[in-house]
Amino acid sequence: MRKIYMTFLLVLVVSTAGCNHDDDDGPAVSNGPLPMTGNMDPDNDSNNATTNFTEFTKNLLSMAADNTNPVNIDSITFEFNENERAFDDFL
Amino acid sequence: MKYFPKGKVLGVGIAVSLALGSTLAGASSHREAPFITKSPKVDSTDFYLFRSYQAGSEANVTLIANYIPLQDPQGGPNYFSMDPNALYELHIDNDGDAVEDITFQFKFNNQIPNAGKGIELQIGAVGEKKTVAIPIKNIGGISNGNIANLNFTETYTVKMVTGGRRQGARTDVTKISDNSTTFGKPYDYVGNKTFTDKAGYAAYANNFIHDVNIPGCGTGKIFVGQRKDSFVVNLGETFDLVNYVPIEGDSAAGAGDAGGFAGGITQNTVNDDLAGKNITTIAIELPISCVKSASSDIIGAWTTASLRQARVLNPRSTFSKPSVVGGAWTQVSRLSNPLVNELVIGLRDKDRFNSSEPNEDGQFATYVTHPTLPAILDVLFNAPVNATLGLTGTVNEIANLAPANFPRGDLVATFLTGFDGVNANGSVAEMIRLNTAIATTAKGAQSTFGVAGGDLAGFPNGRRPGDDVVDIALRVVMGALCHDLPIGAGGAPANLLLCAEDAATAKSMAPVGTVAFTDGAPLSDADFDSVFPYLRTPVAGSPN
Repeated sequence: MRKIYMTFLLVLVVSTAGCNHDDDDGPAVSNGPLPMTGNMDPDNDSNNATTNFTEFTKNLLSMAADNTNPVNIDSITFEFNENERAFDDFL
Repeated sequence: MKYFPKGKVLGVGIAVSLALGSTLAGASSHREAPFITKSPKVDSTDFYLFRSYQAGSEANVTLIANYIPLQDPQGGPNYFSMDPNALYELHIDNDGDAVEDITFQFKFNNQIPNAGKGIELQIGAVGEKKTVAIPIKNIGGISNGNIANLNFTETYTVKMVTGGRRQGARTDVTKISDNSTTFGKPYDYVGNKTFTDKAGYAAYANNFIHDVNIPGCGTGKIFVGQRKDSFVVNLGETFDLVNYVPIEGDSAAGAGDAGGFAGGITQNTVNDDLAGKNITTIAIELPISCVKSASSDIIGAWTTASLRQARVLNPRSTFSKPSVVGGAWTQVSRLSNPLVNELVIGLRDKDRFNSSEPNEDGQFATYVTHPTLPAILDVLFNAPVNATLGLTGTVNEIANLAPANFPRGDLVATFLTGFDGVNANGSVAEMIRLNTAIATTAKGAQSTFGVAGGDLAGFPNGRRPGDDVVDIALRVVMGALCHDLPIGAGGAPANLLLCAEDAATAKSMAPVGTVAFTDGAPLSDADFDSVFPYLRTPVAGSPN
């Protein structure tokens, strides 16, 4: 079996802790900088466009910790493309 | 007819931590949600908020947040360090809007000495020796001032944030001694060959109680380190469908006379399944004047832990780079009142609760106003209770052990809003609230039942380590607040009228509200120290 060089397990915590304090109906989620592919609309968190998982993750890894909010992934459909060395530049 | 206390806002509802405490209660919040069980280092277990009762410190408030549940003292070779990729926070709301006004952020750093190579030994024949790193965290004894044999060190920084936790102004908390910003954390209590004896470990760990400058408002103390688990609970039997009779079997707790409920459990330390466990404590003491607002003596507080939203594992993992992380801080753990997420929130929503903020608690309203635990207890114990009391088939048979006052205004007041004239501050959210103007009760005189025992300095007005929240919460959820409490003038009985508009009706709502529910695991202020950080020296991994 071909050894998998990049055995990445991306842990994406579903972001429900946001800074929007006006919503009593559910966890406040803010849409931070959202990597876009295709016709993804960053202002519409119900958009079901497909997003490349690797590119999305790279953008997340590059985001700062403070002064920003977790990205809502509830409505995102991820497209997974095998790329064993996709994260070499981060490691 | 439904009754809800006047002036109380029901609509928002909140995850009330009512402990359904002892029964079905596990630890205060140990491994309470599915997702957090995968990340024990960021799993909060208990949270305390109280006016400092150390002699001479009464002008201060102490916040304690415990993490990493169910630590077996023998957990070598790595024992229990905090997560360097996590952000641990203690939040304070002092204006009653259920949003943090002050946050203390703790971030940890782990290091191996010798420039990251660790302690090394020369191994091999003379002339052919090789330099080899050791596999353990200490190679010899450790004592106060002698840490040369330590192969692992853990430090942390603390920032005080005023305003929102992510956008507020951040300022370093510094040591009084040298204004440095890095604090040391003691190595865990691995055993007595390393530390000589318990006194030796205590002396070593006490060296890590830091006197600090609190930005903009005076001085305080900080300690982060392993402590003996401060929570006491009959864990195993409780979660086995309450495999005991959860009512005091003696005439009074500790009487030893079997003069209470027939077959009921009696107080015994053997009932505490956490007696041999440790946790890691984050403790901070600071002036009340630093945390309260000019307009109110009441503060609310809670703890959270967050991880970066994205993580990529390193297939060639090293000590310094097991993974790379990025993205915004994403909350994965939350705790204020004990036992909320364990026993009130439904299984399908426990992870959501952990990622939610107090001002979002309206989504959990129904769990509070219509709690399931009393109904579960009725299913388990209705028949045997009636049988024991000889009421089965009689006109006095108890139809339902669970309180009937819906929505449960008593629970809302206890955990959602606080009590008028005691610790209510206008906020409606699940959090511990402390009235900092209420005087402390000295160690030795504290009631283990807090306010319900006539001790206004105790739970639910804040929470002290010696408050038996399991027994308190169990009794409250089964309707204790529908009955008279010794809170009138001079300790006279008085009814809070939280369950009905008149005392007689209120009492009728809770047929077993005066029953001495208990899990049989005793707790009191005698189990804790009289000085900061109050929680005791951990259990040794090797006591010999």
